[in-house]
Amino acid sequence: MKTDNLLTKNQITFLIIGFALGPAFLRLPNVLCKIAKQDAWISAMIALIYPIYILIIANYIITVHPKENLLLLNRKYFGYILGIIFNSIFLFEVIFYTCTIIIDFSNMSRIYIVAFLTPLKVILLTIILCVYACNSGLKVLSQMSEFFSYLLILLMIFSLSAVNYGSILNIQPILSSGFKDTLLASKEAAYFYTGFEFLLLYHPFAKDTKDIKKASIKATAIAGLIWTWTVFITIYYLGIDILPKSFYSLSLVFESIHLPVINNFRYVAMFIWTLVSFRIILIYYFSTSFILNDLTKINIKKLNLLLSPMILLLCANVIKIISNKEQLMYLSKVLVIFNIIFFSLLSLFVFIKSKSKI
Amino acid sequence: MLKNSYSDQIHFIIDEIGKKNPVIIKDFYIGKTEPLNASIIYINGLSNKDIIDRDILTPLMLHVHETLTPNENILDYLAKSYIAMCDSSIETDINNVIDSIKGGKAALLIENVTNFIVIDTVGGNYRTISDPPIESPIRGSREGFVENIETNVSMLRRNIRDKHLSTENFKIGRRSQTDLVLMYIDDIVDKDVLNEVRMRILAIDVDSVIDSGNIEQFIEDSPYSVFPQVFGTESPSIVKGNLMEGKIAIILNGTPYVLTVPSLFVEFFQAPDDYNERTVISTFSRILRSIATFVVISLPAVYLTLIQFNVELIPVKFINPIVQSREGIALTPFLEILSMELVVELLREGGLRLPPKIASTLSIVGGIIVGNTAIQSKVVSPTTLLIVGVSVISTFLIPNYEMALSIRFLRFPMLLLANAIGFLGIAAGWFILLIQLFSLKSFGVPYFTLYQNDLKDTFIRAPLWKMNDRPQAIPNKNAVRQNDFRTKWWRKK
Repeated sequence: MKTDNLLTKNQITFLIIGFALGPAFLRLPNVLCKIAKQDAWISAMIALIYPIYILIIANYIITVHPKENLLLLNRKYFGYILGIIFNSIFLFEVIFYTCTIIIDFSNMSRIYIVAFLTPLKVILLTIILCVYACNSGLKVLSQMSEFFSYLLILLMIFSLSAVNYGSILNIQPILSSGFKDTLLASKEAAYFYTGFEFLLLYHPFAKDTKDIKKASIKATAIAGLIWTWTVFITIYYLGIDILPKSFYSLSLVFESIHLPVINNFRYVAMFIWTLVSFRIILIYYFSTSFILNDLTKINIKKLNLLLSPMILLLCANVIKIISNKEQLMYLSKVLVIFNIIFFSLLSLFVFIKSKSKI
Repeated sequence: MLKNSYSDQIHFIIDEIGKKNPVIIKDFYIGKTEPLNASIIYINGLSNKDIIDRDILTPLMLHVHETLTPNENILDYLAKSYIAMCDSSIETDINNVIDSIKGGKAALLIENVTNFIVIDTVGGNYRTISDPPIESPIRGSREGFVENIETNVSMLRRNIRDKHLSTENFKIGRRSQTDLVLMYIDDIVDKDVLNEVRMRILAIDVDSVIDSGNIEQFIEDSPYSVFPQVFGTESPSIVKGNLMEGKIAIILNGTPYVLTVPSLFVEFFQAPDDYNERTVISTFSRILRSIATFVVISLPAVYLTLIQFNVELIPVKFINPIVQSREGIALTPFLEILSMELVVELLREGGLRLPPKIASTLSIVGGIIVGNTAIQSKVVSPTTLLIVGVSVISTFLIPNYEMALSIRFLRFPMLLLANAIGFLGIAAGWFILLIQLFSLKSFGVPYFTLYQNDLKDTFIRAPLWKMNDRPQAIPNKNAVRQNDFRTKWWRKK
């Protein structure tokens, strides 16, 4: 039977993007602009080093171990106990991102489209959707990811219209913020750019592991382009003085699109954005169940259900803390540094072991 | 079980067919001087009596002027010399003979001979081939399937003369023993899918099947899904096209509705006329259909959220008329839309049961009087009626009736979601819908996939000569449909 549960090249590309592009990056320009001012888009570009580095390492590990995922490799290279500890750290990471993204999404949707709902209702709805969708499995998730990424790209094309209304003066003078600030700002992007690591969870499901390299390049190119473009166009359209006035500044860019029937294109954008957000939440939620399944060996469908009250509880409580964005950014930076060190180490071990075999 | 005595054989056959069936046994003599005892058995109403009288009884009773001895060769001799019919065979197994008689054939028995002659005398009246009423094309073949399975199979055989066109016969239903034919092109069809279909059909264990709709429900993958997973049609030309794509046709006796599997979601939105009309025009109709589908599902829900939650989205010029028209209306926007949608569903369901002559009365009473008075009595606002009307009209753009019903049904959950959680509800509704579509399978084949190559026949319809490959979404053994023949002369001046 041609059920074909393996992932195609395109699906891997968009799964990788699906890990990184979520509701939060509507406010990416705000974060970067604080430090780098009108050069924030250069910071966004510089920050790409992190995902590119991670993808290079991931691809190296994949070429050596095409059939073993991160969780297996951890146990293999660090021993059973350390492996479990590292896997638990990754579990913590995905739970952390699931919750923060859900909250970001709930904030965003309450600001722009469903002001009449309480945050808890939005979170509850999102989690119900997650449980329903995650039961369909990875293949369906990656198909959804592919589909919504096309919508996202379409949305990005729409944002081109802002070119008409912005001013080149808004991004000039280029490189005036100084190299140091531009570089410093780029590290603020850590929270937004993280996620590519989790490719290593699913690479054994690829139809052809040789495709992953191309898929990674494509994913970095698309995601990098979108990130840089959004920061650039937001500064270009709004200027660095108006930009901080909106918490999700990119959403203002969509207001530059004028359609005669709709009063405000932002809603169409938000509709697509909601779907895109559902997608990333779903992927992280599924990854949580996936890692938990590896740790506990409980059926993944049961885990999807069991996880829901936990995530709901976490989100409901994190809401209070999350207002302090500093802590969130700090924690995400720590996680990024951990990821960089961890993956470098892992690849080093893989390298040493593969050499010693020869 | 073979009975040796002549009367035992006859009794056995009658018992097996059923004593209460109108079995006709005609005893007669063959030959002049030492005549042989012979009988012909058939079921009244299933066989054509004229043929039996003219081509079997007349020559055997009146024109045998020689002396015949009852041995095993006598049947062969009689069949070759006296039975002037093209389809007669000598049968040794009495069970096959009984099956044949049930199917309308006649069996000739001769005393002291253990074998039988089975003669094709199938008769009975059937509807003649006519226009398929709900799939009548503007351009293209007007032939529609009929209730007779042989006619249906022959119609397809006439259309496809490929030597690889294969048929397999099944009998479904313990009591009804309805004939079912699987038809496919052997060197295109994917064997895994074929085996799966065969396995599911053989697994059916019911008393009787009434229509191909029953078969569809017995063998489909997700019985609780809203979407139809088996494509059915009355038009041989559509089945022909589907067979050429590597699908399998399921033809059931007694119904003009032929099924093809595996089915894809997009297939329900492709009309046969798309391929006969000009490329640009067909593409335009396809885009219209996509918009219509979106409108049917989302328009009432979007309208509801606009007037209930996100008023700021409505352009200023529209706000005044909407506000004025809504003045004094007692129902909430949700109930207003829901009630109108329900009235439309009532009209539709009512219209189905009515004979055509009274149906026009229904449309006048329903459409004009109810619509008009609903507005005048301040039950609904004109804008709501317009929105509901547009969404109803849009459903008629979906070419497949079953899919139109499914899509129409989706309006209601969407409306409920929109009423509960506004725009987020619509997004959630679409999200669930897409997950459902992506996870559905039809005979193991993904129901909704987007292959780059297939996109030329999905939302648009590319020129036919560009569709060199069969659709990738349907597994097949032979992907090439045609060559780039047009490049031989086009733009080479």
